[in-house]
Amino acid sequence: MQFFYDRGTLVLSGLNDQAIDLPQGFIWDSRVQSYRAPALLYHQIRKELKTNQIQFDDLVHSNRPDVGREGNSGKWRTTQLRPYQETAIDLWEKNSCQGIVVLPTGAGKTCLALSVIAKTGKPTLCLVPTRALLEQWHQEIRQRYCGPIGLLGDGSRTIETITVSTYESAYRRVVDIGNTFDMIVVDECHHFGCGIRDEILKMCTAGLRLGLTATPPSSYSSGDVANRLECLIGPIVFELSIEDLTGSYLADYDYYTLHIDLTPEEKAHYQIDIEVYRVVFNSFRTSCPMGNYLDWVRFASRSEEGRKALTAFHRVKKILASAKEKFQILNTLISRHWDQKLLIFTADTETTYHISKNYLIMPITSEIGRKEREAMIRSYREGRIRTLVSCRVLNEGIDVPDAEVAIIMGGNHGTREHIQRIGRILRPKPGKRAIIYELVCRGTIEVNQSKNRRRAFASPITSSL
Amino acid sequence: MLPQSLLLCNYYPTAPQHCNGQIVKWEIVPQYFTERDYPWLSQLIEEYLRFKGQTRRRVVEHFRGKTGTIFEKKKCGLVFHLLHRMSEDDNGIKQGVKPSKLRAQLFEEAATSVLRPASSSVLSSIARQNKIESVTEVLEAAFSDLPLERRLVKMPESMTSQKMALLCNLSLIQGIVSRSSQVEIKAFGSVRRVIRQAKLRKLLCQVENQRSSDNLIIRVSGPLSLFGHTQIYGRSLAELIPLLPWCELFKLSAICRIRGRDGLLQIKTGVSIPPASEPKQFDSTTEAQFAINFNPYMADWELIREPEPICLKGTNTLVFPDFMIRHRRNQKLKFFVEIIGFWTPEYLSRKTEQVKKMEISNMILCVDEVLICEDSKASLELSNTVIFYKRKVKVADVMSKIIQLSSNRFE
Repeated sequence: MQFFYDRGTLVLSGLNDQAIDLPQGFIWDSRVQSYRAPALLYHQIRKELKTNQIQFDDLVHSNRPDVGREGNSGKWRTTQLRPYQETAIDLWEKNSCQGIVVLPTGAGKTCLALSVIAKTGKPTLCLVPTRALLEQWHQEIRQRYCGPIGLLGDGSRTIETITVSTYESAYRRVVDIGNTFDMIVVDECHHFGCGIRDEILKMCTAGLRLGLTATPPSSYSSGDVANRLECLIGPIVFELSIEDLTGSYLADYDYYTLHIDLTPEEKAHYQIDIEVYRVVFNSFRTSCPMGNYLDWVRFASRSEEGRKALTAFHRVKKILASAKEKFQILNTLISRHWDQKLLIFTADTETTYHISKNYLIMPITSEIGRKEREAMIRSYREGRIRTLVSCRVLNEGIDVPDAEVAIIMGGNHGTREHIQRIGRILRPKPGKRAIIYELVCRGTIEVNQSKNRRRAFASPITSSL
Repeated sequence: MLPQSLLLCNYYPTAPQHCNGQIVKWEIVPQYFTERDYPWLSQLIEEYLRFKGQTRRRVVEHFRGKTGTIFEKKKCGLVFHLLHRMSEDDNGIKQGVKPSKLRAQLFEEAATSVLRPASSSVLSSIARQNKIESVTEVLEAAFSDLPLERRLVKMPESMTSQKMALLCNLSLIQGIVSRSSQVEIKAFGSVRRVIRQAKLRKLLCQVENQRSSDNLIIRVSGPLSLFGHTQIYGRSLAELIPLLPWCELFKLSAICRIRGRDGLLQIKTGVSIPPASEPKQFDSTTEAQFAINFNPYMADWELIREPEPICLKGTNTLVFPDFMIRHRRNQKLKFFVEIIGFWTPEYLSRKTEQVKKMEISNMILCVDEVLICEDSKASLELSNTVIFYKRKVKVADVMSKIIQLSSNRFE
């Protein structure tokens, strides 16, 4: 009996009517007259066959691309880890080298992952969500690893013992490379578990799996996602929040919520639109109390009223994003912190460009080319520019060192987005005390949104204007 | 990057927001573009083409208020999507300065300004340095490479409402099929190309003959489809759609997941979609030459290019010969010809093994002698149905083999 890798799955052949207990996961595939299982179960199947003392030939890695079978050990420069990073690695190893490490932004997730890769010495695939992060990981690895580094994405298609890939490129290539690596590192792993790109992890034979995130899906609000993530990567093995590291490994911070008023005209428009939205949204909540945003959009798009409610909600968001008083306050804040490194976060790209043109601040959006963005972040690091304005691009992963002040003009993606954004300015520096301003329109949906965000990491300071 | 025309033909699915398909009692009913849509389509295309040389923002703003009034609201999103994809922009350079360079200059100088926040003095200075006339032009030039600020320089000027309707229908179907994990195609005539493309895309292809007719039933899926719904093969499956119009008859069924619900999509011969580029008549010059040189035998024999596949008895393997040579008066007297020009030893041994397994001995393999090694040649020479050729296949050799085989059969 033998089993081999076939385009993201494992196929069992040569059974010859032997009466054996098949390992769990195998299903009869009438298309090829063989048993088949997802590649994800490779190690479990191997273990089960060995336990049951069944003789088998393992051909799973026989046709995999040559990526230096000798592994990657001995080519790494050692790094001093922080105590909590060492604990996280120990716990991950104890959990059969599978699981998710939750650390806030700036707490050294990449550094931890590179130490794990160095320690295991196995061929590793690092999955990252964006092209910007692809480049960032490539540079981080290059600083510590002296062997060749493979890249999948942004025009590159090289596979080496250590390979970094965007989710998108891995999705396209996984059929061919699913048996190439023994370890997978998933950066910002909270993007998995909702079905969209889960196949990448299902179609890989790698038994060592490490997930990294600052914002894991909670088992209460998104139980299914959390369960799926556990099946694909493993359980959460270590978790620290911003509060746990503030003042020691993360910069201390002051958080100010600035309440502003809409103009009478803005308020009138807001009231009309929010009413249209509320009527439909309330009936959605009644019929589907636990429904998420996607469920809401599906629900609304089925009826004319629903579609009107969606359009009205878009207008509401626009009113809140472009509230006049927000810009007046922004002007004051920019003047107050003119000499400091400042990040401005907006709710939409239109506002980003509006601020950019009016205050002459560099916008960082997906429409600005990657090379230019990198050059501008370099300028920011070197102090040649001191302020950046962004809607989503700076939310996640991008390393923006030295930022001291964040102004949050608005957001669309809830608590997770908020925690990621705040993480941008908490990278530690001697004597640093970060400042966060959140601009909230009084008497609008932004008030509750703000409360929910704050609850997520229980900040001690609240102030209002 | 593939040429735009090829992209259009092969894979051009609708974005989810333009996916106009309803599920009615489990069946997906796409909102096809028909002749009724031609009037507003031609008006829209005509208006769109007038924006040549203007920015995409102008186009978007112009049409924003018009959808739902003049143009069909639900459908025009898709038409815009296609028109935008088919148009090309300029490089966004205004005032002779690269926008990215201007931005770097502008924002770095603004950071050094003593005024808080930076003011128009910075803009004036940048205008002077770059010989730009006014301050407002500096800001325009600094952002002129953003997608909405780029000017449309190349537009699909030969586009007609009929062509657009066909493209929209293809886009609609591909968008829906890309949300499926397997498709079933009942087809007759020229199915070889569909199967070949499915294989090239590393999909699993099950083929069986329908008992009641000559139709083939092709089930295309991916290995992971066995374990539940997946969209990983969606793109590859959708890429097969433009090949279907080349089959004489076809009917495609696919279970697709739209907005979280499963539904059955069915399309068949006659659906208004543009076919992929015309398949090449011959795979190689050797085959083309063989067809030309066959002329002297046309009186008694008929040469059929890419006949329907033959199923090997007792196996689930299909063989797709290059030609069928059939006697005109005795239609039961038919022979298959496979020209093997480019091969590996494994491929050749597998092929001869297949031919040996076939209980009917009317398959003639033509093998390029120049490429073959002595050992392989010796083993192949034992086979009665193998002919060796150098550069081109001699039709006379094939025909004498056919005559020899047919006389054996009658004996």
